[in-house]
Amino acid sequence: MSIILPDRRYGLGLLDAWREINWPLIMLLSLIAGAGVATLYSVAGGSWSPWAANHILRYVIALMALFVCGFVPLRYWLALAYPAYFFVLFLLLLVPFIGEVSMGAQRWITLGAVRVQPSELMKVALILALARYYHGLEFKRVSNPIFLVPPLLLIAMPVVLIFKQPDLGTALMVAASGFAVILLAGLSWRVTIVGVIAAFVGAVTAIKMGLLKAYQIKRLTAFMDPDSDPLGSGYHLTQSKIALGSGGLAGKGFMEGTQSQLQFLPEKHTDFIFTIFGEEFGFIGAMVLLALYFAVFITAANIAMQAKSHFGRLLAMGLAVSFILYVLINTGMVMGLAPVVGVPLPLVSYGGTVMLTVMISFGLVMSTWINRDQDTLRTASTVSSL
Amino acid sequence: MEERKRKPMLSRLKKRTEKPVRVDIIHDGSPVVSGRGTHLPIVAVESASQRNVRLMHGRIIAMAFVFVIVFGVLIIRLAEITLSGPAPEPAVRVIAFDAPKENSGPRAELADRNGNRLAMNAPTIGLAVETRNVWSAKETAEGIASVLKGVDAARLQKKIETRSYVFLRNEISDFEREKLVQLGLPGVQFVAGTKRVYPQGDLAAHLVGQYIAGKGGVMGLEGAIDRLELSGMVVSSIDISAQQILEEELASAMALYQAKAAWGVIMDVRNGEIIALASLPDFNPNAPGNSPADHRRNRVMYDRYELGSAFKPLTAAAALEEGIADFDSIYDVSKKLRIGGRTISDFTPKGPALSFMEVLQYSSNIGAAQMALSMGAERQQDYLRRLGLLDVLETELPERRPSAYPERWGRVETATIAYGHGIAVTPLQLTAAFAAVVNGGTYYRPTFLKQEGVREDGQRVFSQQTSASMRIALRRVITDGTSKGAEAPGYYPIGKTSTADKPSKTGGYQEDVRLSSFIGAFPGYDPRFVILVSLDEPKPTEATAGWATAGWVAAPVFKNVVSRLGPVFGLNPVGDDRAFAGFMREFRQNPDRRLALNEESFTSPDPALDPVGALLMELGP
Repeated sequence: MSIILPDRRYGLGLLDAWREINWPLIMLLSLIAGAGVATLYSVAGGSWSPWAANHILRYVIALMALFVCGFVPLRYWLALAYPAYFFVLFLLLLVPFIGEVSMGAQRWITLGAVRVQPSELMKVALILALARYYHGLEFKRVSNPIFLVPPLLLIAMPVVLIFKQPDLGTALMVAASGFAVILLAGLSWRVTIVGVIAAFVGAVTAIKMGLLKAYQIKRLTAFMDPDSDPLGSGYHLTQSKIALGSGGLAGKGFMEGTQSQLQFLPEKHTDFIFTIFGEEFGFIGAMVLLALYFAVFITAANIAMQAKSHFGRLLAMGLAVSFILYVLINTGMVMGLAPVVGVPLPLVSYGGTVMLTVMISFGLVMSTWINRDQDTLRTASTVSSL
Repeated sequence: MEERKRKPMLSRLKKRTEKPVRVDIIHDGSPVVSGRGTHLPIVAVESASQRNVRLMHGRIIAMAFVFVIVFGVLIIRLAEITLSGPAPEPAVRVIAFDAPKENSGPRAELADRNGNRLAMNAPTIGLAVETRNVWSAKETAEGIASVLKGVDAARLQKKIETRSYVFLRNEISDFEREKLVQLGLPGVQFVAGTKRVYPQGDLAAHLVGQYIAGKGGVMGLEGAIDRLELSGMVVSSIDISAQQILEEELASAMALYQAKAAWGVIMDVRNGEIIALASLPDFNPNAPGNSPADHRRNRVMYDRYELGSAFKPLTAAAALEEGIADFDSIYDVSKKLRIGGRTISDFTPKGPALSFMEVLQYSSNIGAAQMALSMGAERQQDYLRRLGLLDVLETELPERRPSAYPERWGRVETATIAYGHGIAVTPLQLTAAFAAVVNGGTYYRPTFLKQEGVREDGQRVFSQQTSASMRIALRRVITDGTSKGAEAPGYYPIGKTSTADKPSKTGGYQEDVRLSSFIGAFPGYDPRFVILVSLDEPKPTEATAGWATAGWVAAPVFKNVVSRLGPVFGLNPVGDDRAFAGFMREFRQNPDRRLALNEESFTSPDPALDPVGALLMELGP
């Protein structure tokens, strides 16, 4: 008797790949996006335009992007990692020259018919590049300072460019997810602690030298005492907390959120959408939404655990961390636990590039899942030649 | 075996003892006997790569664990805010209904300086449902829906069933009330309330501001009522006649030159009272929602601009006061001024050398820069600070904006700020500063409330003499300089044009996108009012010979305002009084004046003895 086990070491055909799709993940993402549609419908005062209908359309497109990215074998992503990174870095470099200015910062560029925010794409590209780097690095060298230089450069280049736009929030997020990958790669705790101290000293010097604009510092610290400046930086926050607090246990009910519907809240369809959701669905609703996000994170972390390749492991976990950082910072922000830095709530906030970035990153996670049994990610031809 | 030998070495290098490998069996081929009987050897050497995988998994779990903790904190916070947070803001009150407060009387009303009402309270009848008295939720909901438009019966019914009190409308018409009374629905309540009414409509909209029930005054004098806790009748410094004149003139110029926006201020130079302030486009405070937010912004107080040449009089006055310039000073403007890589040039180059007066007259950037450079950055900053241009201008109103200027204030900045580039201030700040130049040298912080008696809190910045000299110089700007269009006959206005290229969003300045302003005062011999008018991005027309500079577009607005404003305040076009005579005497005793009047061989009557004669001479044949 012979049992033929599927040999998944070299990647799968399209049909096999389809069977391997991690449907729970897709379900979770769709539920979250659905919550986004409902909230945007409510924010517009019970109307599909201008946001809700577009949000659905964008989600469908982004979902297709997820499948496409998921079906690309992981070893292709390994090969594409550096080119993708440098391409996005190039786009970031272009921003100061051909970028569009919106709300005092230059973040958007137009490529053909598409307007994109390269800083958002960088969140994925950086993790790809770092995972690629550590995939090829012998483990004993991870904590060697010399081999720490390239990844730090990989992080520093985009972070500086994004900071210059200026977009302090995204710059910090990109840096944080980059460092997370380095930690995941097994950087020794000793080096980590030295690094944290160095970063702290660096940040203090940056503030002393006046690299941060006054309004940036103010925005970063306003969350600790929003009432100190109720009309300026603290205004968003005070409004947000009042609205969220008025939701109570079960919320005011769908489309009944008076605080936020009545325009007291700025940015209600983007960065502060969690407030609307919380006001209308209350503590229970907000908990459910947060639980969905967390389930996505755990699913992705599990995929990272199951991946046999180093690249896949770092990629999946890095992207999971980046995703949950969005969620934690956004929700923390509207609850006054984190600075108001302009981070959207993924899949719920209205915004095309962010939606696409998040779904592409889950496409990569999906690819990691489908190809989880490949350990070395060598191409079939190399293996057979051994 | 080799593997085993290398190990101690490696661990020494790594400076840590490795965990013992779980099992390490060198198999000689014989069966192994253990507790489970005889079986093949278990090979369980943990290879380096497996160890790495274990470490990696540890890291993943550790990181996930960190986020679990953060997540827990977040949920505690969420519970804190939603469950035990401040008692849920009563939605009803916020919707708009302003429940009369227990201890306070009605909200303060607003009037202009002559008692004309700007904001008042009017009684209203609102509608609510006290649900415990309702007999049939369905009947009540349908009854109300049949009378009030926009009420959804099904949703209202649900609300009546689930809530104890449903507030429906802030205000209903008498007709609607009559019909509801006839329906005779138990539980339906008519709630007495008040609403804010602005009888002047959009006149002085930005000054009056906006009141949002439950939130208080959010703009203008409505904001001042809450900030200063005013009550009763608040008499503001505004004069609605002056306001009407200013708004009309600005609006017609804005339409004529297709400007994006226009604004203006009239301030009493003697005590800082704001007589009128307009920011166009404006809005109607009775229905603020009908105008975009952009129209509701008070550009005079909330926007800041690089106002350009209007800074030159400030620089010149400071130079006079410091004694580093007088009417005999000559400035070399034959070539462009280079400082630290920047080149300063003039819009219309004149002659190789300009006198002090001509610097203002022809609005020479080079000349102004030279004055400031000889003064130095420190003294320059000192004057600008005392003129209130470097700090936030605090008034009774909530609108304010800090000025913007470079942190590093070197020679280049000193030179450019001398002619108003590189420093952005609100138009109101500039108006107050200019007033100090022409009113005898005292800076008054602008006020929006009517002042009784003389204000004691003025700060002397310039001497009487400096101020008098500046009045003469600024008069020359209109008689012989860039602002001939500002001449309002009989009022001897003084002032300065200012045409600033607007900074582009990408840095640098845009060539043909301009901010054209005129700042001036009248009557020139004893200024009473200082007036600033600005047109944002005016387009040239045929009548202005293809120019959109301030001399062509803003100066005539100033002139029209002066001509109409004078009579309203009892200032007549021919000022045959002693103050005027004094002004003329100084004007004539100055060596420069012969050039100004072009009357070399002219012997004039002594103006002190014969003011009317002097005036007639001045007016010419």
